[in-house]
This record gives sequence, structure tokens and C-alpha cells, in this order.
Amino acid sequence: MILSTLNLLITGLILLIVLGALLAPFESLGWWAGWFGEKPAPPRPDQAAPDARVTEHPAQSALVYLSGIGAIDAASIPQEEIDWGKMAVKRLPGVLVVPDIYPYSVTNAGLTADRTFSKVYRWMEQRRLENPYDALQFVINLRNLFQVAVSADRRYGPIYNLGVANEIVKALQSRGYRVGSGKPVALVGFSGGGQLAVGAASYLAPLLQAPIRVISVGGVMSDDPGLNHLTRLYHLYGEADPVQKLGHWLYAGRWKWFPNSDWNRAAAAGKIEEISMGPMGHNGAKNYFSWTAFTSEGTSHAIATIDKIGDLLAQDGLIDPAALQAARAATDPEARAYEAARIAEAARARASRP
Amino acid sequence: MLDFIRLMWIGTIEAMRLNPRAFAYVEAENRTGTVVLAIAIVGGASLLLGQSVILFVNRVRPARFVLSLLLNGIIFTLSLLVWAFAIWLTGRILFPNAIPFATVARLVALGAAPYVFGFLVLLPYAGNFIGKVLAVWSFLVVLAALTTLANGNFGAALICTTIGWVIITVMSATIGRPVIALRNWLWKRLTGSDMEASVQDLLTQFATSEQAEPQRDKGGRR
Repeated sequence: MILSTLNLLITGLILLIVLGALLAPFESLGWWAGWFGEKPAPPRPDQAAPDARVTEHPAQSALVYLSGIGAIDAASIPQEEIDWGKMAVKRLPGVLVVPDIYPYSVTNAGLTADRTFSKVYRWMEQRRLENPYDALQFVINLRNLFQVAVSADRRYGPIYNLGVANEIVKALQSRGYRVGSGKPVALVGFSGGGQLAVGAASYLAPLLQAPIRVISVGGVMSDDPGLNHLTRLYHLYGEADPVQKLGHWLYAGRWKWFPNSDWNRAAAAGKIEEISMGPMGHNGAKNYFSWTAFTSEGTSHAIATIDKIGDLLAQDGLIDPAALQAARAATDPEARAYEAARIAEAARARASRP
Repeated sequence: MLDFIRLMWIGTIEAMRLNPRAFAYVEAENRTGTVVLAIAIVGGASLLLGQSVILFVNRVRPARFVLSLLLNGIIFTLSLLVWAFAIWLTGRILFPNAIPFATVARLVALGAAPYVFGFLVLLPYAGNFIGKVLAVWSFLVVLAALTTLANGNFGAALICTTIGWVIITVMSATIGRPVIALRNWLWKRLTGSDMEASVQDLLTQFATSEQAEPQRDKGGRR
């Protein structure tokens, strides 16, 4: 009896997952076809005109952050990414930072927005606020993971990635980026955000008429045609991160047996640089955003990741090296204090466990 | 009705299992024709659902979307019948026999059984691979069914299946063109789209080769 109930539950769960995967492409396909009435058609490159009401931002480059698959909407992302992002803004001076993109929707509409299951997602969000490691988080991860697969699929990707690129352009414009200014844009994508960044690049380069770089933080990326539109792809990976390796295993175009694939051609052209971040992990206490795990040099993983991004931007001339050093010196005490607070918090949590 | 659906399900599963007893039953029983026809139409509709990205790219409206699925089921069934005719004709010439066309048609139409799961082609990323698996599976079903029909003569079944396929391929590129044109005209009339836009067109439209070149940074940046 118990066994048959268990069998029924497992079968039901598998069917639900397959159903979720089958329905995953419909959001972007329906958007493109105008089924849901969001918009009749996405803009063309020449329609991406700057918004006259917004004053042009003085920054000489822009950085767009695309969160990992744990995101519920642009603002509701795992706490570790929020804390990390706040510090990144302070330590990357002179860069226009755009953090408010929800790349797991072609319309930038978060899961708690006007959707059929928005109440369910709100409930899950509440649970996550109470417990960041809530098991139901896996539903959100799975839902967003399917959208990453949609982006990587050569049939759906062109539509999905156009929607995301369109939202990135709008977000940049709303913060004072002038389309046509030629100011370089760097997309920082964590986990699935790495694929979405590469996918969106197909359209961002012509829409913005600017050089596009992608900095993948443990990104799971496919052999996407967007690679042909990138100036550079930096892939930061942790030695203890098995998840980022999935991109290499799952996407045949990244295998060495296909030298003419987009990935291998970009690699052969020197466009892709893989950079080891030491013993960082994808999730858990030693992840890329951790304030309580430290590199052999004694830097917290969070700061090490931010500083590596800063170094790459400086190396490519997207950030002033002197300003970068000054910002680091100015924010070091705050970073140390934050690290100490999080270590104390973790110790208290350990002590309170039965 | 439920009984009919149950029969369709059994027919689909047994055909996919390449069960010779199921093929022998379909061969012997003329009344299985309706069930096999339904499997073929559902297979064709399901396959188009799996490949429906083409409908969305061409911005087909919801009502016409459903109509397109049904129409594809019928067109798919007709193409199977044409293939069955080519196989039947080949068999008549190369291996003289008195097997009626209707029997060959029923068994070839069973080749649509794997495509009942054609909707799985929708799955992001894995869908393309599943589509290829279903195509091979469909061919194997036809081959196994004809082997049963040829009393276990696999060679004869393979020759008829292959030559039949070559005939329709050559015909569709030559004397069959007016028929294809008629099919396309009918499709456009009913679905409201000629399905000319492909996903590749989107890329071309938004990222032409000239624009696609990575931009050089200003002010001496690398």
C-alpha cells in the first residue's frame, strides 16, 4: 500500500516536471505570436531610440547583472546575491550598474507578477524569506532552469533571447544609457544567467551598437550563436563547482569533436577566457557570493568575485584602474565588517541547532 | 468512445513494441482500419504540436493553431497513404503477390504510432533529439509490420520500404510538385499563414551580418 502510494507520487511528480518542461516554451512563443496581448511585435533595432526624458548617465560603460535560477523577480533573488550586488555597486566605480532584470521572462515579469500561479510563487517567496534553504525553492529553480533550456534551444532561443535583450535595452535606457553612444556593456550572468547573457548578445550588439562582453560566474552556457556577437566571454569558475561543468557536458557544440561549432570557433579565435576562482562552489557555504568562505589569500569569496570582475573591466578599459583601487580601499572596512557579521551570524545559527 | 480511445492506445503501444501479433491482427482484420486511421491523424497532429514553433513564428492565431494541428494530421495521413501505395506497387512488381492495398495501407499507417508522442518534441533542448528518435522508431514500425506481412521476409520488406520511400522522394521533387503546391495553397487558406518565416529569419532580421560584427570600443579600448 505504502509502496504503491509512493510509486503514484513519484510518477505524478515526474509527469508534472515533464508537463512543466513542455509548457516552458509557450510563454515566449505566445508573446511573440501576440497571443497574450503583451505587445504585437518586439521593437526593431532602429526603434530602440533613447528615452528623451532620462538624462544620459556619465558612466563610460554599463554592467547588467542577470541572476541565477533562484530568482523570483528582479528584486526577489537569493539574499546572498543581493548582498553581493550591493557591494559590487560600491566597488565598481564609474560603471552604470543595472541590477533590475528578471531574465527568466521575455517581458521582465517576475513570478509574483500578474500570472496564473503568482499566489503560489508569493507563498514560496514568503517561505524563502523565512528559510533561505526552503526545499520548495527547487520548484522555482526548476521553472527557471526550463527557461534557460528554452534560451539554449536553437528553435526557441531566437525568440526568447530577443525578448530578454529587449528588456535589457529598456532597463539600460531607463537608467540613462544612450543607445548609439557606443559605450561598452558587460553582462554578468550567474549560473543560468550566463546562458541568458550569451543568448541576448545576438540582439544586444545590433540593438545597442556597442561592444558586448559577458562575464559568466559559474555560468551554464550552451554553444549559442550569441557568441558570434560578443567581444569577449570571461567564464569564472570554481574548482568545487560541478554545476558549471554541465554546460560543457550537456551541449554537444562545446565538445572538442565539433571544431566548427560557435563555441569552438569563438574559443579558437581567443574570445573565450576561462578563469579559475579557486575552490569556490556553485551553491552552499563556499559559493561565489559567500562572505564566510575565504580564498587562500584571505579574501572572502564575495569580494574575490567582485574584484575579479573589476580586474577584467579594468583590463579591458571599461573602468578606471585608479578609481577602482580607491573604491576598494574605501569599501574594504565595510567588507570586513560585513564578513565578520555574517561569520558571527553563521556561528549563532550553528549553536542554536539541536 | 472510451473503448475506441483504449483501442487506439493499445494499437499505439503494441506497434511501438514492434509486436508481430499486433501487426498480424491489423493485417487480418479490416475493421482495424478506423483505429489505425485515428492513430495516424493523432500522430500527425501531435507531431505538429511538437514542432509548433513554426506556427508561433508565423503568428498563427489560437483558433487557427488548433485547425493547423488537425489539418496536419490529415496531410500526414495522406502522405503515409502515398508511401503505402508506393510500397504496395513495389511489392506487386518485385515480389508478385495478391495482398490488397488496404492491408498495406493499414500497416504503413501504423508507422504513425510513435508520432502520437510527437508533442514531446516541444521539450526545450531535448526535443530535437526526441524527434529524431521518433522518426527512426516510425521507420522501424513500418519495417517490422511489412516483415510480418511478408511472412518474416525482412529483405523483401526492407527493399519495398526503401524503394517506396525513394519513389515518393523523387515524385515530390518532380511530377508531384503540383500536388505539393495544392497542399500548400490549402494550408494557407485554412491556417491563414504560408509558414514562410523561419526562426532563422528572425535572427537575420534582427542581427544582420553587417550589424553582427562585434563593435570596437571607443577611445582606444580593446
